[in-house]
Amino acid sequence: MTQAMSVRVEGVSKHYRAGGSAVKAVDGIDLTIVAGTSVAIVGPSGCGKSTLLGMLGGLEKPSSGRIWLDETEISSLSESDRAHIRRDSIGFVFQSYDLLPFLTAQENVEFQQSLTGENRTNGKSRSDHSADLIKRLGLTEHATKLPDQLSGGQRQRVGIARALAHRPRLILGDEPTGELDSETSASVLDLLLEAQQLTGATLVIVTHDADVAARLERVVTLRDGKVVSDRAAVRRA
Amino acid sequence: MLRYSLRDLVRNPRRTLASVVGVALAVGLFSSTAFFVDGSAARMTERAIAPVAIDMQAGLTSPLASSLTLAESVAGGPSLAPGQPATVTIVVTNTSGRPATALVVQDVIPSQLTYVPASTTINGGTTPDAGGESPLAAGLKAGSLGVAGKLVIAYQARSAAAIPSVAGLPMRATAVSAEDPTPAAANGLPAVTLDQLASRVATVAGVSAVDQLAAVDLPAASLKAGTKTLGQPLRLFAFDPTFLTHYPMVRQTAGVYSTGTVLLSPDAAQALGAGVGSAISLTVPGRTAPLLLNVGGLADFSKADPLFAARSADNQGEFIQVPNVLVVPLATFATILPALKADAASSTPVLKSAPVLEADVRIVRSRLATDPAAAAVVTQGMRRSIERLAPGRVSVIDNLSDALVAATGDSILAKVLFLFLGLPGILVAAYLSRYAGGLLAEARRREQAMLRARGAQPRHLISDLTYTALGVAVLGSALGLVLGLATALFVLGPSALTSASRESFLLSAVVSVGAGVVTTLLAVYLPGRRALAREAGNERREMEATSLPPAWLRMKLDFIFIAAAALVWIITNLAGGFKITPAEGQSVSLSFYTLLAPLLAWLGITLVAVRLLLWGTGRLKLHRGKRVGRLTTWTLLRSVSRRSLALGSGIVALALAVAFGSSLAVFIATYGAQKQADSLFVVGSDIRVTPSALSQQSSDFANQLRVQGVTAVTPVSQTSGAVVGTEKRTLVAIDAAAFPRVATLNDSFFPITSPAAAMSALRNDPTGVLVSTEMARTFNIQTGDQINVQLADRTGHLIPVTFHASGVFKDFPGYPQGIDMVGNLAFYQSATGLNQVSVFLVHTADPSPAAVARVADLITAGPGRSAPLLVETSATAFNRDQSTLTAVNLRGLGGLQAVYTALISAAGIGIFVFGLLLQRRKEYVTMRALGIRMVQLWGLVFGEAAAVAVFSLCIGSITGAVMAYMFVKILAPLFTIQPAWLTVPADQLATLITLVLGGMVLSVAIAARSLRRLNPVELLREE
Repeated sequence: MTQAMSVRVEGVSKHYRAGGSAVKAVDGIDLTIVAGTSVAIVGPSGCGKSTLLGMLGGLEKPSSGRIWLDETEISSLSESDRAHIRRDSIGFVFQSYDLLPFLTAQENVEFQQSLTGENRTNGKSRSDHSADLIKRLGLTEHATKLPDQLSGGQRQRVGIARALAHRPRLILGDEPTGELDSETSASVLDLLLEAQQLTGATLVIVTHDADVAARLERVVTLRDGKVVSDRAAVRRA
Repeated sequence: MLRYSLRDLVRNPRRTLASVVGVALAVGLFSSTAFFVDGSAARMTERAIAPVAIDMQAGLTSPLASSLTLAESVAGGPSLAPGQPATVTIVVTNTSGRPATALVVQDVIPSQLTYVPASTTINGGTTPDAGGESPLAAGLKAGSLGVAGKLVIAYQARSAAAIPSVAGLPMRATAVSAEDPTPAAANGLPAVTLDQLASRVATVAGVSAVDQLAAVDLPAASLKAGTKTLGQPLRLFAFDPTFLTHYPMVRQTAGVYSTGTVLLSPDAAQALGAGVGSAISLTVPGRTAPLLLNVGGLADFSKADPLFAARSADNQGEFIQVPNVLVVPLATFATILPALKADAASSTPVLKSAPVLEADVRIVRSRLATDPAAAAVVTQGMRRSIERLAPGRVSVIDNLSDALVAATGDSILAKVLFLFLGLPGILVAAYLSRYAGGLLAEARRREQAMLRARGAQPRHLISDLTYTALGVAVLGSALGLVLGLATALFVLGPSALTSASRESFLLSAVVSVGAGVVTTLLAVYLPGRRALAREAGNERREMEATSLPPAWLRMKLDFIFIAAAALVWIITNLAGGFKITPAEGQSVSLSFYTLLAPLLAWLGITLVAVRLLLWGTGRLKLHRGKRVGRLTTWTLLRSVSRRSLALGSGIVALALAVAFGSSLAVFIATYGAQKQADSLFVVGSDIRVTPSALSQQSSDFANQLRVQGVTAVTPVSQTSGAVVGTEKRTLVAIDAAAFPRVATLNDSFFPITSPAAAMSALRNDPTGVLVSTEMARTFNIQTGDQINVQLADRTGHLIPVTFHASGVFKDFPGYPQGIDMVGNLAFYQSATGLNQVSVFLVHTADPSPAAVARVADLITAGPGRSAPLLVETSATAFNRDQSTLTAVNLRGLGGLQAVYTALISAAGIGIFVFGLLLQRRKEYVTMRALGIRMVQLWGLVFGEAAAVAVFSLCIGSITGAVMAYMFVKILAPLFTIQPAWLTVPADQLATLITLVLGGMVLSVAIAARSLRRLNPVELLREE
C-alpha cells in the first residue's frame, strides 16, 4: 500500500482570454479531498471540470488561489517541480487514452516507470512490474501490440496500467470512460476502483456520466466554474 | 469563400509561411538564375566581339578586273525580219581615276547579222573598214579615254534570217587599254574600284570607319637595300597611316609611318640590313622599273593574324605568318596595280595569286544589342547592305557576325547548362512546398471537416483550395521575385542586373512567376484536389492512405531513376560523348540530354539511400523486456524505428538539398581548377616571356628574368621546320633538368611512362627526343629508334641530325596546338649553332593571379625595358578564352546556388522540426503530463532532427560527389586537358555542413520554446 495523497483547494480561479474577453473557467473553488477517498467531479460541458483536474495535476497554474497536495503547495511551484510531483506521485488516465503511438502496450507502461528514474519497484525490475500490471489488467496477449492495434477498451486498460505503473498516490482521470460503451466503461471503472483499493491512492475522476459518479464515494458538482453541490455519492442498486 | 480563404491565410501565418516558403525559394532560385543567365549572355556578347580585330572585310571579288565598262546593244526593234537593218552600239566608259591609254575595242559580229560595210562610226565620226571588214573585227585602236570619259562606237548590220528576239543575240565586244590589259567584256558587271567601294561602304548606317587595304605576295628577290637582296618571298601590304590607329594589332616598333614612307617587318629589315631612313627598291612583276622607297619605320606583325588570314571561301580563316613584310601607302600601291594587272594578263604571269583589295569596316559596336542573337541580326543585315553596294563585285567576310553567331550558340548552351545546374535546387524547393503541404494536411483536413459540418458543399471546398493555392502562388512568387532580385544583387552585384536587356529581364521575371504558379499547382493544388476527392468518398480511407508508404517507395521510382541515369550514361559513353577533343578556343557543342543523367542519379541515389535507411531502421533490434536505460535514447530509437517514414520524408528533402549544394560546390571548384590548369597548360607555366624577333635572347637571358618572386626560369627553343622524311615537323628543345621545375607535367601527358621518367630519359641521352603519339604512329617509331631529322642551321641551310626516341608524349605544356618532338636544348643549339631562344617559361613562388601579375610587371619594367618582350601570364590566357563556353563564369552561379542551398536546407530542417511539433504536439504534452523532464523532451526533438540532419548530410554528400563527378565528366570536352580528379572545396562544404547543423540546432531551440508554451489541458482534450 502506498500512502495516499490529500488535496486541498483554496479559492482557486482560472481565467482565460478568448476573443478579447476574459472567461472564468474556474471561479473561486474551495475543496478538500481526504487522502485515500474517491471523488467524482461532475457538471455540464464547459463548467471547468477538466481545468480544475489539470490544476490538481499541476499541468497548469491557477490564476488565483492555492492548491496543496499533502503539505506541498503545487500552485506556487515551477513547471520542473510540478513535473517532478507528477512523475512520482500522480497517475493520469485520459479520455482519449493518449498512449504513445510508437510504443507497445508494455513499453507505454515501462515509459511511465522509467520517468521516475528508479530501476526497481518493490524489489521487482521495471519490466517485471509492468508485466505484472499488464497481466493483472488482462492484457498479456496484447503486451507487444502497438496502440493502434488495440480496441478502445484495451487501450484504456493500458492507460490505467500506465497510470498505476509508478504506484501513484493520486490518480486523476479525465473522462476515462468517455469514449467507451457502457459495458467496457463499467469494466474500466471496476479496474480503476480495484486499483485504488489495492494501492490505497486517492482517486479523482472528472465525468459527466452519473453512473460512473455514483460508484465513487463523493460527488462534487460544478456549474459555471463554481461548486454547486458536494455530497456523498448515492449508491445505485 | 474568397474572403474566408484570404482570412485563413492571414490568421495562420506559420502555416501560410510553411506553404509559401518552398514556392518563394523555387521562384527565387529560378529568377536569380535567370537573371544571372541574362547578364552572362550580355557579357558573352561583349567577350565574343572583343577579340575580333576587323569587324568586316569587304573584298573585291575581281581585284584585277578592268576599270573599263563596256555596254553593247542592238537597236531596230525587239525582233528582226530577214534583211532588216539594225544598229549595234558599243559604249566604253573609263571608271578608273586615271586616263585609259592605247584603248583597243574589238567585236565579233553575231552570226545572225551581216555587217554593212563602211558603217562604223566613233563618237559619231566615220571610221574606215579594215580590209573590207569591220574595223572592230581585228581591233579598233581608239586612242585614250580620260577619267570618266565615254567612247561610243556604232555600226550597221542586217539580219541574215528572221531573228525572233534581238535580246538573245550574243554580245561579244571587248575593250583593253595599256592600264587594263585584261579585256573588259560587254555588258559585264559594272567595274568598282577600291576607292569607290570604300566610299559607298562608309555611307552604310552603323559603319564608323572604313580603311582600304591591299595585299599581294611577291616572289623572292623583290626587295633590295643597297647590295643586299631579300632572298625570301615578300608580303606587300598597302594601307594608309590611319589604319595603324584603327588596328593596333600592327605595332610600330621604330620610326614613323607616313604617306611618303614605307614600313618594314623586323625580319625583312634584318635580312636587308635596313633600318629607319634606309632607301630600298621594290621590283614588281609587270613593271620594268623598280620602285624606290624610303623606310619610315619598323612594325611588329606577330599579332596581326587577321591580315595574314586567307580570304577565299575554301580556306577562310587559315593563316600563315610571313616574316618578311613591306607596307606601302595606298597611293604607291595605285602605281603598282596596273603592273599587277599586266602580269596577270600576260601569258606567263609571275604572281601565283591575285592581290587582295578590301575595305576593312569598323562598325559602331556600342549600338549592338547585348543579346548576341539580336546583335547578329543587325550585323548580318549590315553585311547584306554592303554586298548590295556592288552586287557580284564584292564579297564580305563578316568576322563580327561569325563571333556573334558562335556567342549565340554558346549563350544558348550556357543557358541550358545553368538551368540544368539550377534545376535540382528548384525541384527540391518545390518538393519542400509539397512536403510542408503534407505536414499540414491533417490540420487542413480538420478545418475542412468543420466547414462540411457547417454545410459547405464540395464546390465550396474546391473554391477554398483554389483561392488558397492562388494566394500561396501570388505571395510565393512575389516573395520569390524579391528574393531572386536581392540575391542576384547581393551575390552577383548590380552589373548582373544592369548588363542584361530590359526585355530579357522582364521575360525572366514573367517565366519565374510562371514557375511559381506551376510549383504551387504541383505542390499545393493537385495534392489538395486529390485529398478532397478521396475524402468525399471516405475519410477513414484517406486517413489510412496517409500512413501508406510514399509513392516513390511503392512505385520503386528510385530504381527507375537510377536505371534511367545509367542508360543515358551508357548511351553517351558509347556515342563518344565523354571523349576530349581539342577545343582550340572554338564554340563547343554538348549533348545536354546527358545532363539528365546526374539529375536522375541525384533523385535515384538519394531515394535508394533513404530506402536502405528505412529498411535498416525498421530492423533495429529493440529487445522486449530489456531495461529502459536512458529514457531519451530508448524512446528515440523506438520512435525512429517505428515511424521511419516521417523521418524518411525529412531526409529526402534535406539530402536532396545537400546533394545539390555539395555537387555544385565540388563541380564549380573542379571547373575553376581545371580552367586554371588549362591556362597553365596553354602558357606552359605561370609566365611566358617571348623575346622580340628584333632582339632574340640567348639562354643567358634567363638569369635576368629571375626577378623577385621568381623561383625558376627555363629557356625553350622551337622550330617548325624540322624535316622528317619529306614532312616538316615541329621540334621544341628544352632543358630537361630545369623544365619540370617550371612547367606542370601531368601524368596524362605521357601515356607510357611517368613525367619524371620521361624527363629523366631525355636528360640521360643528349640525342634523345620525345615523340608525339601522332608522329610515333605515323612513322612507326618505338623507343630507342633512330630518327633522322634535318634542321636549319644559322645560315638557313638544312643539316642532318640524328636523334633517338626516348619516349612518347600526348600533350606538352605551352603548346596546346600540339608539337611533334621534344629534344634537349643544349644538343639542339650545338647541332644547329643557333643559341637564340624562342620563349622563356617562368615559375613564380606565389601562383595567385595578383602575385603572378606583379612578377610580370617586374619583368616588363626590368629586363623588358632594354629589350621588347611579350609577357603572358596564365591569367591573360584565361581571359583570352572568354568567348567560348569554357570561359563561362560559374562562380557567380555557384554563389547563388550556395545561398539557396543554405536557405533550402534551413527551411527543410525548420519545416521538419515544426512539422514534428505540429504532428506530435499531443504526444509531447502527454509526456509532459506523465512527468517527463523538459530536457528529455527537447532531447527527443533534437534526436530526431539530428538524425535527419546527419543522415541527410551523409546521403547528400555521397550523392553530391557522384553528381559532381558526372557533371565534370560530361563537361570534360570543354577542357583542353583531362580533369585529374574532383577538387573538394573544404571551406564551402564545411560551411554547408555548419549551416545545416546550425539550422537544425536553431530550429530545435525555437521548437523547445514552443514546447514550453503548449497548453496541456487544452491539447489533451482535443480529439
